[in-house]
Amino acid sequence: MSETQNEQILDQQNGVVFGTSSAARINDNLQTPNSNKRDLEEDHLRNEKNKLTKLDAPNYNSSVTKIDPDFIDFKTRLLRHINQTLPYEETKVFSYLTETRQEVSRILKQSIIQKESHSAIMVGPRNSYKSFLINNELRYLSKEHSDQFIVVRLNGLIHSEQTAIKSIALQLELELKRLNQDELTPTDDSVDVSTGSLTEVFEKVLKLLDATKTHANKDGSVSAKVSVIFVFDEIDTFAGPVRQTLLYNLFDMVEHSVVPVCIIGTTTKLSISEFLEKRVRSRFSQRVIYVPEPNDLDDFVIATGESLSPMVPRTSDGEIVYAKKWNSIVETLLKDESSPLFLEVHKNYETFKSQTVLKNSFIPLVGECSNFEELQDAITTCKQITDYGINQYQNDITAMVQTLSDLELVILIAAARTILKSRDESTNFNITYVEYSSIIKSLNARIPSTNNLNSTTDKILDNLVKLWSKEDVKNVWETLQEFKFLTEKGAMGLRESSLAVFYASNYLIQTSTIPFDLRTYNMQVTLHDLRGIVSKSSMFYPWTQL
Amino acid sequence: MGVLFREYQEKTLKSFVCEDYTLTPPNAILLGPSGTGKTTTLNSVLSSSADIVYATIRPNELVTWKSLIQATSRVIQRILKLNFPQTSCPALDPLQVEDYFGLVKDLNIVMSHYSSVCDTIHIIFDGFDLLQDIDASLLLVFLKLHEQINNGHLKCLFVIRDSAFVHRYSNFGIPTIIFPRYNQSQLFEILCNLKTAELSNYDNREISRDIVENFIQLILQSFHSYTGSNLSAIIDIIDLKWPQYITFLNNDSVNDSATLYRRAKHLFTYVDEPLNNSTSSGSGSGSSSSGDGVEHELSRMARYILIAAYFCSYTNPRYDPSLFSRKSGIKAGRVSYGRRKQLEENPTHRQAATFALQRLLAIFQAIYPLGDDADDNPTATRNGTLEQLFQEPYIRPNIEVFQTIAELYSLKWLATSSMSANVDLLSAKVRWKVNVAWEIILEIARSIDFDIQQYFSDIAT
Repeated sequence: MSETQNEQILDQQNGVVFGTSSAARINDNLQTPNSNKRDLEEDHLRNEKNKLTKLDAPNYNSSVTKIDPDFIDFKTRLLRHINQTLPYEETKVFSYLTETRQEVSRILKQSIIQKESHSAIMVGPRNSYKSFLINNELRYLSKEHSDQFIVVRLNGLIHSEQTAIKSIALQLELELKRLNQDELTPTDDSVDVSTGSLTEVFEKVLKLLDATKTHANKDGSVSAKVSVIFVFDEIDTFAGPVRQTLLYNLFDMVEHSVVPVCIIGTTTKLSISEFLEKRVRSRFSQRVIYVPEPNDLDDFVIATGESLSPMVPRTSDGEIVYAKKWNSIVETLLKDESSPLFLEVHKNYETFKSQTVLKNSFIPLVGECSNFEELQDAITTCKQITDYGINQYQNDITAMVQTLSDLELVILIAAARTILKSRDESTNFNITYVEYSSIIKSLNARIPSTNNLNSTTDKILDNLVKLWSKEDVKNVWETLQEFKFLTEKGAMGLRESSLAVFYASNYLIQTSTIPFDLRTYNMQVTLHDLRGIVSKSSMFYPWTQL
Repeated sequence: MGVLFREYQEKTLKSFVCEDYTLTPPNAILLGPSGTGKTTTLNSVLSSSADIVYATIRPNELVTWKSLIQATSRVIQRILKLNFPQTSCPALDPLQVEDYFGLVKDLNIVMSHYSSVCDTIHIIFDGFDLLQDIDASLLLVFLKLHEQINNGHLKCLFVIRDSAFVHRYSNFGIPTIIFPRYNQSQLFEILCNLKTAELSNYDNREISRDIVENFIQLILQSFHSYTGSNLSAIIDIIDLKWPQYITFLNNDSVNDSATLYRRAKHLFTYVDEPLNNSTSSGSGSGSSSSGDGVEHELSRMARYILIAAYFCSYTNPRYDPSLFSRKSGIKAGRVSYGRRKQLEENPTHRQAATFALQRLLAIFQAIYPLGDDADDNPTATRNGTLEQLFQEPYIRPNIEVFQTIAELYSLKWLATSSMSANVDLLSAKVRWKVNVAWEIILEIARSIDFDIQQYFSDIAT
């Protein structure tokens, strides 16, 4: 209650502030010229390093009396290495990706150093390090050539075609400000790129791209032109069924613009070039880079080793000792085909074949250790990795059925039985309740009851199974729906986009007018599944077959 | 203090949530059914470290994606302002955030002002899948949001109930921590931990822990199968039953738990949900409650129409002549409809069949007793007179009948088979169906002394 009040008060305050012109305000706010910070991350990291070691110490080691600062340094390095947040020189790229990396690097270097225009699309499944490769190369290039290129990042999931243009304008504006911050350029029209209608903005963007050349020329330096690098994530969302104006214009720019422009798109769609319209496709360079996966188990094991062993640092001696020791431990464990680590990696290779899943289980393993012996022990036994795997399965159907209470289980079994009996594989609450009560009645008929003999005694020792009333069972029925054991027949499920949700909300759906008892449901488990899951000692086990 | 039976989750969460953005992956999911301690664990982890700046958003209080992103912008601004009051930052109107890019833009501006004091912000979406207008692309936006923020780092933590929702995104490899349901013994320990102090001091009475724990155990044994492992549901039942239970406490029963149980036994036999009045009367099973039909506030004619509609939906039209005709000349019995098959199941358990409005009117005419009204009316013709022969023995479908049908339709007791909202109700093509369950039609029939069960005698159990 008080929260919402606060919000209202804040909003009211905001309302007062918003009296001023919004465009001017935004321009004021964006004065801080550090938007290219991600590319300059390493400096930032180094500055923070001392601070971090202090922060980490109480967090992870509160129970341990003696804190080894070298180990904390090493642990931070290892975690950063696993999360791939180390500075460029210390980042390792998986060896199976070397060729891809070289190709990306070549394209970027050609457009940044040699000022050529390029376009390319990287294709690969999720988490196949597409964006990582691009960002890594950009980080490298920003070390020496940070004043020679501008990066514009777009994501098809976040930007629509309209907002993408606005975003391009805004990012260009900021980056140009960053480049020109030393010169005292008088504010001219070009600064105000991001205002106006969409077509105006786009025209200004194109004009600005031409103008950057003359701007930089005033310096008289060698770096005459500024390359513009567009990084498009999920480029397939811009290659929709309607017109593809944005892609058309951008690819056209690659062909005709005076300024070197490089467009790198990433996508998960293998058939990306079929998505493109003819006029767009003809302007695209046809350079599609397929990001490879590890070929075989050996590649995969090598990649795991690389993701686990950071480069030996050049800093403090203690850390070097730990790093060397750790790397050799990982190496020997991965060579030994009977070690738990190797078995876990092998299991992952045969199932997910995903470095990301492995990485997710390595982070808790490293994070929980407070000294090197613990860490060494953890990687040797791999207990945390197994635990993580076990935890991941605690929410699947089998595990959920096992956590159901007696009543929930018997209702589920009853529903599965009626489904099997019915012609159209659907059930409803009425039928299930009848089935349930017949199960309980026949169960009770088998239990020898002593109460019938001397009915005068208190019924406190009633050993019959309770038959819950129809009203009460409705609650359980809803619980089963919540766990998605039962889904309403004809239910649409999750809609793909917000637009689909909007359209769907405009239709009155007939099922909502059916009384609760009569709504038809389909089931996500069959009676046969239940027979495998329900333990043989359960009193309802005999009912798991017809 | 840790959360009971959530040691693993807590430990793992600590390695996924950290004030240093370089040590953790950008997003994480906490997945588990309701009442499994997700929020409690998350809060205990977040509050254990003073350096984590975090903001919580509850999507179930918001309806659309737009209000969700506006709330995101508002909450982040507020939390930064609260945590770092000395830093000045112009306030941005969250209501101007119209699309995802607007959110990105605002966050970039806001976080650039605070970048010197705070570079990582955690946003917690408590119950992400509970957003009413949830769609599949919304989570993707928030998963990728951090890539678009240049002036700082954003980490999203999603608390999600529905595992099917998360399974859609399994190829994104988002670190996930699963919270399984508690089992009965775990529940007992948790409840003892939570409630003992509160219950033993209830209403300024000192009650020993043994009695409280015994009570909790009894409640769990009686109602665990009903509530399942839903912690909040059990707590509700405890809160409901405890005041009644302690009225049975006196000097004799304090030490004798068996006597106490015997006296308070009815408390543990029925759920007694406050909404459910028919069972709380203590009469036993709630199915045979009487007199409820009156509460539906329907007119007499409406009740007959409803019954007629029920017949239309649930009896085979082939049997109509034998069931409803008063004329003896029509062939009765098996000759008219052939051999009856033994039905496999009660048709009233299935969904209603559709019928034409004409049939409803005909059956209504047949069952509606016009004569009863005539008795009350002194001006009406008496039975057995010649005048009566001129009078129709049946009610004609007049304006009142149609009005009642329209009323029942608007109350959704009657429905049409068409999906669209705009139906021409008088069109001959429209098929109707009744929208009432068997229990309710029984109540209605009983309220007007109409023996509906005899029509279903061969099938209804």
